[in-house]
Amino acid sequence: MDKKMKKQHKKRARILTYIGITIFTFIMLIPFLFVLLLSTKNNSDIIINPLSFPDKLNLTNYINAFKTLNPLLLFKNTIVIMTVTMVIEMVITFLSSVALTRIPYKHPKLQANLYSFLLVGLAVPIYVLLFPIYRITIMLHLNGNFMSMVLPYIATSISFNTLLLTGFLRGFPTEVEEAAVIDGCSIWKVCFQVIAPIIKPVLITVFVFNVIYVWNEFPLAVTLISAHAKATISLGLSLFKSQYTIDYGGIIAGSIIIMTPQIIFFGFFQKYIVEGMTAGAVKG
Amino acid sequence: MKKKVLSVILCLVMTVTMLTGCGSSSDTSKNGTSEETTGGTATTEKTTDSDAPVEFDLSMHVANVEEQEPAIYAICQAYMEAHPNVTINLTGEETTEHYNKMKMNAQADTLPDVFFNLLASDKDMASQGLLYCLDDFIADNNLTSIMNDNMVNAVDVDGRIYGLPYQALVTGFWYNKDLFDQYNLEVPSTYDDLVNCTKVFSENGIITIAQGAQDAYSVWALMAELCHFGYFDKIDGILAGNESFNNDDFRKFYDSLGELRDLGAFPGNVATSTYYDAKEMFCSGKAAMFDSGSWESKYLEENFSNPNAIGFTWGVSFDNGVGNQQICSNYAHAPLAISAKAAEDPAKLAVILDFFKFYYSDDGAKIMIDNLVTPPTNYSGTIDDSFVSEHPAFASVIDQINLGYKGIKTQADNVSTEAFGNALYDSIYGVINGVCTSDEAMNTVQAAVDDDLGK
Amino acid sequence: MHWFNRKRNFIAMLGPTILIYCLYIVIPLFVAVYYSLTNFKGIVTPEFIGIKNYIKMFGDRYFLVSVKNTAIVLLMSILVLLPASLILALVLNRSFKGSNVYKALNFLPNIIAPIVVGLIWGYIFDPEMGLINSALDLMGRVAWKQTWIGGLVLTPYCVGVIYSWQNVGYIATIFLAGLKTIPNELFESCQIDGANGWQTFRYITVPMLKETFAINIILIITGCFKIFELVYQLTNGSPNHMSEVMTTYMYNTTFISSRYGYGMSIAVFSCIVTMSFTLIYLFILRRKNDEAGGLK
Repeated sequence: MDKKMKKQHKKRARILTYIGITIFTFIMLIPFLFVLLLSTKNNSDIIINPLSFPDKLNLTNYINAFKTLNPLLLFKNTIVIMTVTMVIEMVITFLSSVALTRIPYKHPKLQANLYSFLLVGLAVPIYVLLFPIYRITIMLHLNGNFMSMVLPYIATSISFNTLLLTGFLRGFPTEVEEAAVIDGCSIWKVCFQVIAPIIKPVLITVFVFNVIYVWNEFPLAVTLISAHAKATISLGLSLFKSQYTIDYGGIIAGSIIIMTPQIIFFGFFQKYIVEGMTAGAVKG
Repeated sequence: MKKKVLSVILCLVMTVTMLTGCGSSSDTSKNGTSEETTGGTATTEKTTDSDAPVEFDLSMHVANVEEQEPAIYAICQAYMEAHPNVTINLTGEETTEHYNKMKMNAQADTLPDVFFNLLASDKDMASQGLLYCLDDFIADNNLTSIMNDNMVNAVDVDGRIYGLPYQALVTGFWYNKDLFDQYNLEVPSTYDDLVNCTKVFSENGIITIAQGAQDAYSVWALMAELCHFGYFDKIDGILAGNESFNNDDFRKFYDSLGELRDLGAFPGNVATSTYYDAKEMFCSGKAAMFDSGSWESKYLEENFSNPNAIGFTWGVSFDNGVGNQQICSNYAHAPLAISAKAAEDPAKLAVILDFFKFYYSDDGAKIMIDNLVTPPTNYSGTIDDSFVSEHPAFASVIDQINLGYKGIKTQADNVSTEAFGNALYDSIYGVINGVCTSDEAMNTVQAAVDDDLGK
Repeated sequence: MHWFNRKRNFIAMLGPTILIYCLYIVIPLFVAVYYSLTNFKGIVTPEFIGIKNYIKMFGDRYFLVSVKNTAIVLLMSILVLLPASLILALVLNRSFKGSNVYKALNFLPNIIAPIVVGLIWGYIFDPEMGLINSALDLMGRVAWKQTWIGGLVLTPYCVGVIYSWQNVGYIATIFLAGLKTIPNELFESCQIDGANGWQTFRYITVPMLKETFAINIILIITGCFKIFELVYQLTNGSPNHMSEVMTTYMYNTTFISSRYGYGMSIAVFSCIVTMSFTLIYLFILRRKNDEAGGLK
């Protein structure tokens, strides 16, 4: 009897959860549904009658966007830059975050100061860095090279990664690592084979955010890339806007083309964040 | 009826055949200029005859040159077709980013070979020795005879010229004749007419002038109206700090703006409207006039329900104005300049100058006109009636140019720094948005002047 | 823990990060500080003018407005965004069928191109033809109509709403990652002890999320001070810079008006304020932790 009631109670709670989250998600999505609606209209309707429903499904904007964007080239360039950036930055920020949380410091102040120092980047608007980064790129003879994008992307992610990784590392107990050290593992083995699997959900979260950052980053890309052949996906939308003209239809359809892979990517990796939980052999 | 195009100064008659093929067109440009100084031509011929491949970058203010600057694109294509050994790399990025990038390039000494730039910024670059001086080029090709003073001297730094306008900047109000007819109104030629029109339009729920304050720079025609109050008599003194921008003459202008605002001349959501919104508002018949310029000819012809109803006017005169009221806003657009670095390579320089020669020839002008763009030179050819009737909006621009009004020296925002220009936009939109009084508006500009003077 | 006390390892682990960080963030920051002390306009060699720009800043009406607007957005975000994303994360943390789809959908606003965000929310908030005012018209509530954007008062609040909308999924994802690190055993033992939902939340979830809270609050503070594209695309400061936030005003002075020196002084000021907020917050947090004898 009691069990049955509990079961019923649970069922009710689940249904309520579903209803609640569906309503919330729907409200969140209204602007996005609006985007989908607008993507089927021509430019003057987008401005003059944004709220009206179109008579028929019109995919002209998507066709034009595909023609203008040359998505294959843009995706290819973006993926090359992204891959190199991700490999380097995940490794180095992971190691530095471990060093920041697991090293015994002779001067405890040094640890706190290094941490604060690495967080400063969060406070810096990217527009402050553009002129100097351009100069540095020229000085290092990197202009026109993919590395000219990779290094600033790594740099601008360091603060964010440090904040997240050190934050979560601090929350994790150290018994397992200590056991590994006692077993005689090398530092690198401890980092990559013991710590990394434990904080996998966090690493994946950081990874996902970094990928999305690089994918959408615009100010640095427009500053450092001149040749069309090297253009990345985030530059695509500027093809629809000039001094006196704007192709809203193209921008909207183009932005949907650009965000679709991201949303699939995000949904895909969400699964791994959940899996990470069950693998986490963490004890409070 | 044959229309003379851009005949503000009647040029020496040069017979120009209407050319269809691009190849032959540039041949003419080569031969056509042979009457000029032999020295200049000789260099050009030498390089163009040799087939050594030459490449140069041309950096524009749009990301998609082919679509968004079709005239420039067509000229480059025509030139490359005639000179197979030359490759022009057209690059570009959206306007604001482009200007920033040019500044960064200037600092790092990595300017593109040829580039579009803001006037103020070009002058700064020239003063730093970053640009190639075009004095010889202008003399060799006798450009002063085919370009108006305010075009050829646009980038004058200490008496030397460092850039040439990429187009003529022709600004004014587009108007919708049908709307004026519907309410038995004449297109206004004086400020009082404009006030009357506004009263009628407001009663009928029509916006008199479409403006978009979110793009603060979109105040071309209104800036030209400021020149009806002795702007150029005063501005030198103001910039030198001897006079104040807050003066009784300019106040009349800002007060008029305030009056129009109170009468409902501008859209209710002007603060959140962009230039593009204003344009659509005009196209959809919700607004009777639209502050813009000749560059919209093509768009309007393609998107207006009745293209023959489109007209173009310089604006209105003021009874309480100062000085000549018959003035027209036909001046230099942002310039193309050659970087000093590109000029170090003689072969490259020769090709670039040859390209410029083509650009500023009648053939170049013809390509611009075909793309409904107002060329910086005074085109001496004639244009078919059919072209005129096919392009009523562009024809209306040409009609205004042919009124022969006195050309304003330069656009009002171009007399000083970018900060000054932006303060000027802010002052005008401040009154239109209703967030400033006339005095506050003028003080905004004065503050920018003081700032530039280091006060 | 005594397994890292070798200098070589220390350098190998921290070196690359510090090197890239210094080259691309710290040096440029010093360059910005230098320019903030000059009258640099972008091209012509600058003159050193001391702290004149900083003095000017506090007499600049538009700058003060931008500070006020930024503060409003920050306050809105702390009050709306933080609780909303925590609730969202708690709900999404119950693994039910399709929860991944919901996670992805709620994350969506974060990846729409800023220009489209500005366009869409412009249509929603526009005082003349926007969705909200049209709806109020239909409902006969004309008196409720407001100048949501483009007026002198409401724009920063609307920016706060849009910013929250954009980042709910983002902040919730980080909360989720934090929730995943709480061992299930803790909840189970709680249930055995007969704690109700609120007690579990109050005594298990919140304390265990301490670090996640810190991360998210820092991200929100620093994020709000860096809001740019949203305002740039929504109003571009209209009317006349009255809806500007600090970053857009900095951008406008630096890049549109080419007052690079002055713009950099605004940027440096903004960095200092953001960093102070962050460090003061961290300081309070650490001290609390120390008192509670908790995490270090």
